Amino acid sequence: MKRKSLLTSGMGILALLVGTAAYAGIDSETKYVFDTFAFLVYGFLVMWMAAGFTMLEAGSVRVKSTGVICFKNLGLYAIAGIMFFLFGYNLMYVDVSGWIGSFTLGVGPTEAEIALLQAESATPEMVDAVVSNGYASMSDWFFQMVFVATTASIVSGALAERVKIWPFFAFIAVLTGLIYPVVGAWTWGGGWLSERGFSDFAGSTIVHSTGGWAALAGAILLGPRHGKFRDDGTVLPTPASNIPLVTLGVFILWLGWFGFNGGSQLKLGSAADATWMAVIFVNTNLAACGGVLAATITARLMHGRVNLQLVLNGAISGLVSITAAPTLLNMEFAILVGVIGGVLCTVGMHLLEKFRVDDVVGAIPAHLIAGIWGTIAAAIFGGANIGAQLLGIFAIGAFVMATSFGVWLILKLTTGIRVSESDENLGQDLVELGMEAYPEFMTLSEGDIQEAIRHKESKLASKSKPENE
Amino acid sequence: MRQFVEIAAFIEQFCQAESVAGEDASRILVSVEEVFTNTVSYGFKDDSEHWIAIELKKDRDALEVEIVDDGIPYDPLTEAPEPDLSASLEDRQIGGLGVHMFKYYMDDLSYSHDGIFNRLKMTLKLDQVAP
Amino acid sequence: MINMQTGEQDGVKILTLSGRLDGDGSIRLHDRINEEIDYDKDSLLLDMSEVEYISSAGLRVLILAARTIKNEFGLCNLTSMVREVFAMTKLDSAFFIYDDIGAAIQSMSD
Repeated sequence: MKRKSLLTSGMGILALLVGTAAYAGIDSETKYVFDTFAFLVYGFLVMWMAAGFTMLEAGSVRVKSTGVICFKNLGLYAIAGIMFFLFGYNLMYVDVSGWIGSFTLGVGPTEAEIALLQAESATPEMVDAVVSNGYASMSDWFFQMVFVATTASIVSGALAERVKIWPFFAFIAVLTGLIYPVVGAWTWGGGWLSERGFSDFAGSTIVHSTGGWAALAGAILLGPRHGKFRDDGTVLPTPASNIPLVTLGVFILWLGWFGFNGGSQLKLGSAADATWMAVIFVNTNLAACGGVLAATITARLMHGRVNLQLVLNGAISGLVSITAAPTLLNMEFAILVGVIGGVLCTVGMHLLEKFRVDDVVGAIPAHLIAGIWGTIAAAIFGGANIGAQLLGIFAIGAFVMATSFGVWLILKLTTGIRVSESDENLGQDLVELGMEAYPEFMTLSEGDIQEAIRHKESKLASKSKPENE
Repeated sequence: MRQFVEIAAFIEQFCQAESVAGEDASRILVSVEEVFTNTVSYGFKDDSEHWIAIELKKDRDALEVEIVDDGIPYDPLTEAPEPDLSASLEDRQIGGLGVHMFKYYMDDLSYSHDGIFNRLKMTLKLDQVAP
Repeated sequence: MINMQTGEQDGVKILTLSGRLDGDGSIRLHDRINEEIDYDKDSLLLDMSEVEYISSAGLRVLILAARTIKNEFGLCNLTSMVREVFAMTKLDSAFFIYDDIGAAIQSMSD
C-alpha cells in the first residue's frame, strides 16, 4: 500500500513521512521479518530446553538408568515433532470452534507463501499477500511445536527408572497429538476458555500444569520405585547421581525460558513489542532468582539443611510461576511471584513423599503446583480475571487428568507400563537397551551392602510376627 | 568382561606351573579381576582400542603382579569412582567394593604413571603350602 | 566357568553351583535364576560347596537375588574363601547362611 502511494505522489512523499513520523512504525515487510525471526530464534531457544530437561533428568536418576532417560527424551521430542505436524497444530489452531480445531492432516506453507517462494520474480502483490499474515506460517508452527515438546518432556522426568519405554512413547503420542492441542484450542487457539477471559501468557497452565497433570496420573498408576517407600514409613533417599549435570540442566532451562516467555510476546515489530520483551526477560529472571532464594530458605527451615535438588527445583518453579504473566510492570512483584512459587514447590516435594507418590525429579511440584500458582498470580498481580483463571485451572486440570489417567490405564491393562522388579533392580539400561551408559554393572558399593543387611533384618522381623505365611 | 576368561586362564596356568597354592591363586585372580574391571570401566573414556598387560613374577615366597594399561591416568587405589548412591549418605566411600577386596588380599600395592602408561603393582606373600 | 544344577526339596528350589562366581559366572547365574525362579513364589537355596572363588560381581548377583526373591533365599556350604569374603565385606549379616542343606531346608520350608 505504501509503495503505491509513494510512487504516484512525488510531492506527497515528504509530507507523508513528516506527518506519520510519530507513529507509522516500521513497514509491514520489516515487521514480518522481525516477527518471523523472533518466532524462529525464540523457538530454538525453547528447543534447547529439551536438552535442559534431558540433562536434569539424566543427572537425577541413578546411574544404571541414564541411557534410557536420554533415549526417552530424544524419542519424546521426535514424537512430539511428528504428531504436532500431523495432527496437533490443526486441532489447536485451525478453524477452532469453541472446543476443538480441525481434523486435517499435516501443515505446510500457505499458498501465498508457496507462490512467493516459487516465483521467478516476486511482485509486490505476492509479497503483500504473504506479509499480511504478519509472520511466516511455518515459523508459528515451529514456535508452537517446541512448546508441546516441553509439555512432553515434563512427563518423562517424574516416571523415570521404572516406566516401560514403548508404552511411554505411546502416551506421549496421544499427549502431543490430542490432549495438549485440545487444551491449546480452548485457550490460545481462541476457544471457549479464551472467550471467558482466561489468560495464560506463555503457558503456566497450558504447558506446565498440563505436563504436570499427565505426569501425576502416570506416577499414580505406575507406583513408586521399588524400595523407595519402606514399610516402616521411612523414605529411601535417592540422591542425584550427577549433580553438575542436574545443575547444567537447570541453567539450560533458565536460558531457554527467555525464549519461552519472551517469544510468547509473538511480535517484535515495534518499539512497544521490543520493550515488552525486555520487561519479560527481566521478570523471568527475577522470578527464577526469587524461586532459588525461597527454596533455599524454605528447605533450611523445613529440613535443617539445604538440598541442592530442592534449590534447583526452586529455580524452575519460579520460572513456571511467572510464565502466566511475565509482563508485570511493577517488577518487584515478579520476585514475589517467584518466591511464592519456590516455597510452594519445596513444600510440595515434601507432600508428595507423604502421599507416597514417587516423582523422580520433582516435576509435579515444579510444574503442576507452580503452574497453578502462576495462573492465579496472573489474576492477583497481572490483572487477569480470577474467575476465568480458576475456571481454566479446573477445566484443564479435569480434562488432562481424566484423559491422561484413561490412556495410562488402558496401557497398564494391555501392555503394562512398568518394568519387572528384577529388571528395575538390575537397571533399565542393561535390560531394555542392552547397554550401559556407565559400565558400572560390575561395581558394588558399601551402600548396596547396607541395604542388603537392612533387607534381611526386615525379613527376619516379618518372619517373627504372628501372622506367618 | 568376558575377555577376563583369557586372563584367568593365563594366571591359573602360571600358578600351576609355579606351584602356587590354590587359595593364593584365587586371591591373585580375584584381585586382578577387580582391578581389571575397574580399569576397563573407568580408565578408558573413549571408544578406541586399548590394551592391558599383566605380568606375573614369582620370587621364593612372593608373587608380584604388574598390570599396565594405556588408558587415561587412573589410579584404582585412590580414584575408583563414587559407588551407586542408592543408599544412605554415610556409606559413600571412595571406590566400589572390588577395590576393598584386592586391597585386602594383596600385601603390597603401588601405583605409578610414567607419562604414557598406568602401572599398578601388587604383591602377595605366599603361604608355604605343598601344591 | 560355572556349572549349575537345579534340584528341589520340600518345596525349596536348590541350585548347586560349582566353579567360579566371577564376572562371567555371575552373569550366567543371574540369567539362570531369571529363567528358573518365579520371584514372587519360589524359595531358592544356593549350594556353594564347590564355589572356591567369588568376586564383587558375584556378590552383586547374590545381593540382587536376595532383594528380588520375595520368599526365602539362602546360601549353604560356603567354602573358606567365600566365608572370608563375606566376613570382610560384612555380607555375612546380609544373607541367610546355613551350614548344610539339611539345616537350610528345615529353616526355609515352613
